[in-house]
Amino acid sequence: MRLNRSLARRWACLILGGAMLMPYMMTGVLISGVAQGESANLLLPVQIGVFGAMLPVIALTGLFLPVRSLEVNAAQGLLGARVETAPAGPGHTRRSWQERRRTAAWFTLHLAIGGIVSGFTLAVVPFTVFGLALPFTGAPTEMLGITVEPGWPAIGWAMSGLAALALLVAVAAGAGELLARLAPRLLGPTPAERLAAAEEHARTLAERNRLARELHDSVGHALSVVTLQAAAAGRVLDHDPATARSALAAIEQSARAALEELDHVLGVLREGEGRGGTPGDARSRDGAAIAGDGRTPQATLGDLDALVAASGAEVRREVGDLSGIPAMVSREAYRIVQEALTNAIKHGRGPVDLAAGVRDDVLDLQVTNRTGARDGGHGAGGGGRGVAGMAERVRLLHGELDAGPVEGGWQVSVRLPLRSSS
Amino acid sequence: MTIRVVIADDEALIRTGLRVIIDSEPGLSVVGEAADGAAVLPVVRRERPDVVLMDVRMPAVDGIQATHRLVALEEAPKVLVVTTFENDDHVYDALRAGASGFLLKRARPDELVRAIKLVASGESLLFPAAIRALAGRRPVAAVPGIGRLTGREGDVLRLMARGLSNSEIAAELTVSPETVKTHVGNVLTKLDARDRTQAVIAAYESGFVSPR
Repeated sequence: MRLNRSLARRWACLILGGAMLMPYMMTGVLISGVAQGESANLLLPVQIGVFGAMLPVIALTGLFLPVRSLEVNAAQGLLGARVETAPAGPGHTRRSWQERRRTAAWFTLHLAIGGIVSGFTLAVVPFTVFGLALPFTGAPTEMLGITVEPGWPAIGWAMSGLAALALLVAVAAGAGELLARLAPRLLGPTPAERLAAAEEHARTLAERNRLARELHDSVGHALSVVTLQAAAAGRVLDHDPATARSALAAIEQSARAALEELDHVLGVLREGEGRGGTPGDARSRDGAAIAGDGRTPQATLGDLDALVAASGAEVRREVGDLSGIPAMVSREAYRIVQEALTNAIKHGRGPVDLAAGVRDDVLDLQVTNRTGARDGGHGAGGGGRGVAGMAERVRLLHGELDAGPVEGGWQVSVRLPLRSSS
Repeated sequence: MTIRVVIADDEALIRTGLRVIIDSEPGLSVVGEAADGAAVLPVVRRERPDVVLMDVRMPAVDGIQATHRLVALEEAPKVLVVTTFENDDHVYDALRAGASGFLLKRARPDELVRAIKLVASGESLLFPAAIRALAGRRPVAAVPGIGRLTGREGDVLRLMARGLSNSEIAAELTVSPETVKTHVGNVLTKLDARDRTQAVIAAYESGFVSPR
């Protein structure tokens, strides 16, 4: 039963190929008719010539038509082929020629074999039906230009009809099997796509690893505070209640902040499990510098003053109340500002404007500078890399990033939600 | 005699927690605080503490650099590294930089007090097992002076690595504590070590004592 069902589905896939072939054949027949100066000749030999002539056309269109996902679906659903779906990432919007050639080869093969099997199906099924009917007519009947007498000759025709049907089934099964075997090779991911997917995966893992490590540090730190303050409170409870009380307040605050951060980071990590896609070539650069060297604590927005001072540039600040921002958002925001300032100093001239503030549980950051005389914008050269790094951080936190020219300058504008649910 | 302590940690809540615990213990007193590695040097010069509790991770000048600077002082205080995580390579780096021991921030108050007293006295090694584990991850390197140890001094160094105090070593080797003290002094001199911790690290690093 299973074999029959799989054969029926494969047959359907072949018929689908034949159906997709029809527009090509009709066009070809029309053109050949016009070329030969007659009304369209639908005789079989001409059609075979048209069929052969249309194959290169099919291959050519296969290079450009977006048929890959359709064909993958057909191969998976109808042929029962195990075709690995090519990983879709932000870097794969442009099709490689290797992938186009494979898809075109498959498309041509599917239409050609499908067309042949469809043609046979259309011819053989009526032939078999008529052949089987012949012994029961009881009168001489015309069949393919031959008069068939009742009796043994008619039974002979019925038998050959059955034989033709058996042959058709065998051909369809063979063709289906052939396509099912070729599908994974021609429709599966190309080596380049596999490599890109693996790199993508590695970057995602590195990024998640960094977040997890920082979470570990941050929560460990908070628990140290809680432990020490609790021990201190225990020691002075009897003779210094005021100190004990402030220790308890510190415990409460530290534990709450740590829980909020756990919640936030675990949300990001868990959600990332199902998804790929974490580009960010800036990682190897500052990831090593920031996360690898654990000797200094992670900088947050609280360290903006030091960052601005260290940059050596003239920075006009307009910074609102930044308290109450979750630690992870604060760290990532600090690094975004760091990258934006670096770009502004590298490519711009004159003072840099830095605005930061919280409104409606969203952190707004803006870094604006006048564009440098020589450099048209930040998109070129090193600036582009910085923007990619920022975009990656923003994406991870479900924020929004706009980087582009504004009147007389360049502006990086970032919005980061403070709650993972928003 | 009161043991005078200076606390260096960038987190105010850690400093106050440590201060309350230390000040509530008779015989210990916090005489100064510093929020980063750069600020600790003037405080130490002014207060002349016996022990500095040193956080490893601090902005600007971290605990390892600060330890380097402190142990180069004349009449240098003992440095006790405080850390969040035991499994931290920076702890070992701090020990190599001259710290006499390390302490986890999650340690119980009595452990904290015991560690400070132990380091101040220099009588025996703090957490010998943890130091062995940290040293075990390092490659063997040549340590000058290890070849000049006498057989007895070598015995004493091995027992020091196990965390034994002078009197325990004396009992083990059936010699007088004064003799052990002389041996320990000779070991420290020959290995150019400022205390037992440094000598034991040199013993592990040279392969003289196997950490495994």
